[in-house]
Amino acid sequence: MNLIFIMMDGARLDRIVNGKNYSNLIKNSTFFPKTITYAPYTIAALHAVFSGTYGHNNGVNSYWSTPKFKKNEYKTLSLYLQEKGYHTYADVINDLVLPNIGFDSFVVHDELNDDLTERHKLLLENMKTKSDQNKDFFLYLHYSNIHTGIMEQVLKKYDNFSDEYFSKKNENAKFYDTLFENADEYLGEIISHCKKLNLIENSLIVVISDHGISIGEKLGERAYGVYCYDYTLISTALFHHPSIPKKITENQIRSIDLLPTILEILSISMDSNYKPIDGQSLMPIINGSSEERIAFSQSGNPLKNKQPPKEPNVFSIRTDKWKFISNIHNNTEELYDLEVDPTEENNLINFNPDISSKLRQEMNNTLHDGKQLS
Amino acid sequence: MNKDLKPNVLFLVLDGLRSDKFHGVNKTSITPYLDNLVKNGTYFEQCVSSAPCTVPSVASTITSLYPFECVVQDENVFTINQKLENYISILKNSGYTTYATFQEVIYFLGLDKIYDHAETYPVSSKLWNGLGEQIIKKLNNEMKEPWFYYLHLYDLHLLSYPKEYRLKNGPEEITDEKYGINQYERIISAMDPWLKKILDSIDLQNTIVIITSDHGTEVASYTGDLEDFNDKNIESRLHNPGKFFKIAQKISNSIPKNMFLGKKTFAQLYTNRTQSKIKKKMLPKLDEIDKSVRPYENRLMRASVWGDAFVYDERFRIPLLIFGYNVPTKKIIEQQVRSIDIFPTIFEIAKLDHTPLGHGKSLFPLIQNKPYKEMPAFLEGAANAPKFVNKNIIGIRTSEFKYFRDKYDSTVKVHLYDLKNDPLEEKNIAENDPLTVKKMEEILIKLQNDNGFDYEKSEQILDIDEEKKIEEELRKLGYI
Repeated sequence: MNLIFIMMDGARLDRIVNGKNYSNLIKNSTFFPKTITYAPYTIAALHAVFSGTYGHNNGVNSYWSTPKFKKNEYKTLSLYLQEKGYHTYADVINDLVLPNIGFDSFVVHDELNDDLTERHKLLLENMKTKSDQNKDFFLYLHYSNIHTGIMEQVLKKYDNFSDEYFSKKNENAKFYDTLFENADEYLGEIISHCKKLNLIENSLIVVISDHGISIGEKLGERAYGVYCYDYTLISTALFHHPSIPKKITENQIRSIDLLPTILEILSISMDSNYKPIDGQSLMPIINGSSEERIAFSQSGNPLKNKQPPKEPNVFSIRTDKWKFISNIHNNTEELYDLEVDPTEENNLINFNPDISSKLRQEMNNTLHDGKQLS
Repeated sequence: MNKDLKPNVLFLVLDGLRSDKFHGVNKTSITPYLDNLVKNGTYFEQCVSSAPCTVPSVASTITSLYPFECVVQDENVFTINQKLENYISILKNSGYTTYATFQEVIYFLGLDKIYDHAETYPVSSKLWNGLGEQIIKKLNNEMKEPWFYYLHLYDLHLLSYPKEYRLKNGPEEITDEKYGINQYERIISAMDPWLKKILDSIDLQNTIVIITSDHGTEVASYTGDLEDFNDKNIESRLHNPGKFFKIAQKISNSIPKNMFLGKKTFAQLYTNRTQSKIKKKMLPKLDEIDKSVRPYENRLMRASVWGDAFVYDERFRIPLLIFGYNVPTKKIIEQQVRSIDIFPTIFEIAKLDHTPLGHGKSLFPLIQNKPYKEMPAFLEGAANAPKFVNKNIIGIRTSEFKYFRDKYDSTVKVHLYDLKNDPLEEKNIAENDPLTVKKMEEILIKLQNDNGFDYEKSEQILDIDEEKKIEEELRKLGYI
């Protein structure tokens, strides 16, 4: 079975569920609307997806750490597939965003000038040729034009504390909507093209977003990669194949669970020559089990600096109900009841010490393999 | 001195010098000049290094970090993590020209990249056979003020060579008992007049001088029979690498790094095999050590046969003497201090603004008789190179207790010593005093970072070119 992996960079959940083409696809797929990303920015988020492992373990826990990826300890999705004889092809925004391992072709597109819809349709046609020659393929398509718009109109114009930006939330939302509509159009075109090329029956189509994007919710974060609030931390994952149930799972899962799930669907065993990964297959959940996956995330708040920090300084633990945040840079903590306060406005850290303590312990366990630090 | 001028700084490291052999009742060397210096400066009797050997110790001192934080394992060597800020670079930024003179063998530490002007001298060079003159010439001719001069002398390392070589190449004092109870102390006696000549070449009104060491050594305690015992062990350990080694080394040096088999050079493979042979030959000798000797002597003998990376005081107590510009005279301080405190102290004495690095704490208040809380000293049985990492010991020292244990397991090799009543660390009281063990463990565990107490591997460190490339890419993406 082929794997067509479409990565919708910066697509927000609240727009995804209302997107025309997205919605059509969701109806015919297993959809995880609460896929908690390891990092609310692409580089660390995708290294976690491709290794099934959190960044503090796989080496990529900042914007700067792509070369630190522990390729000898964690086997990437692309390498698994390449070793199984797949033709592997990645079309990416930048050569930092993915571990460049196990790809026969690793091509960087020009996000400012390339027509990604036409480019990716052409790539699908090329892959179809491989498929017709009985060669399975893995095609990774990075839709980067939401990022392009945000880069041009937000990142380059405003800083994280710009009064002008944070005073025009409605305008920011409208601008984001425009970017998202284009993204939704792109997705519709790509799926239609898959159908046209008869790739639906013999391909697992995985569509994910890597993180959300701020439209001005919290001062200090004009886009993403600063805090660990839900508007950036919630990403999505969708699995489409005729054999996969059509369902929406409301329970949260983690982006690190995608790798083992894909491998299980493709009947590929985990390689025991590598370290055990942090993620777990979602197949039990897809098949009906209801379970909670506690999610760990890290971000790097640049504070007043002009570049992101080299090490993460905001950590979070999220359950379906609670979010615990530890801000290492100023030694503060936050606790939110997500069921009653989904926009994370009321910090309960001083009102619910038992939950805080439990989640702090969970964070310590995740970070230090069970060793208590303080 | 004009108040706007910055003082020069001479940082003199006498490799392997132990505090009790520099000053105090255990010292038998004849060192009128050094004795006089102690009277004319501030001497810290209880200074503790972070590591028992040069590379991790020096790296720790100039960064005020612990060895596991500042040393990078680069395949088969340890080097200073060049990515970290260190006090030498801060001095450069403060207008200092930085110089260093050290032995070739510690070149791999990466010191050459840290100083403006770094020069090395061969292993055979000692103060008495030309090195002393060379240093004096440098001080007289080459230094651009304000300067910082790191001078690392390896004279005491002569003792790691066979007896025949020592007697042939050592100073004449080495065989004369009037200069000290053992050869170690006689070499110190021989160094004394040279240190005088070197220090006479500088203007002490305008210079802060630090005399210290990177670590101590067991050899300082050897006398008579123990010196003979040690000589036999040195002879046994000798191994002629022969032609094959030289050919393999030549081949491996000519092959691009990425072509090495399994990331090991031929020479490395050969060296590992040689190490293994020597180990096989030496380890049975541990069983031959007379068990009736007292624990301290037993430990010294074991160290002579096969160096254990424990963290006893004979390796960690180093001298620290500060004198010259803005330093009180005739002051002896008993309180425990740490090698990581030295550079913050220099900066405060020199009145240089800076953001303190790492965990160091200026000793200047202590010098000025102000209240100063003793800080626990972190100890690590760290090695000079990965091939010697056979013992993973970490610990904590206060002026009252020494606690150490296995790096990866707090229940293994647990030791606790009452330093007040048992200064030679002969009676392990860990089982009798679990409360103190718990207290010391609590202090220790707080010091670890995300890697625990492990070294960072060089493949995890970005080099500067790589970082610039990433910066450019992040700029394109709009993140910078």
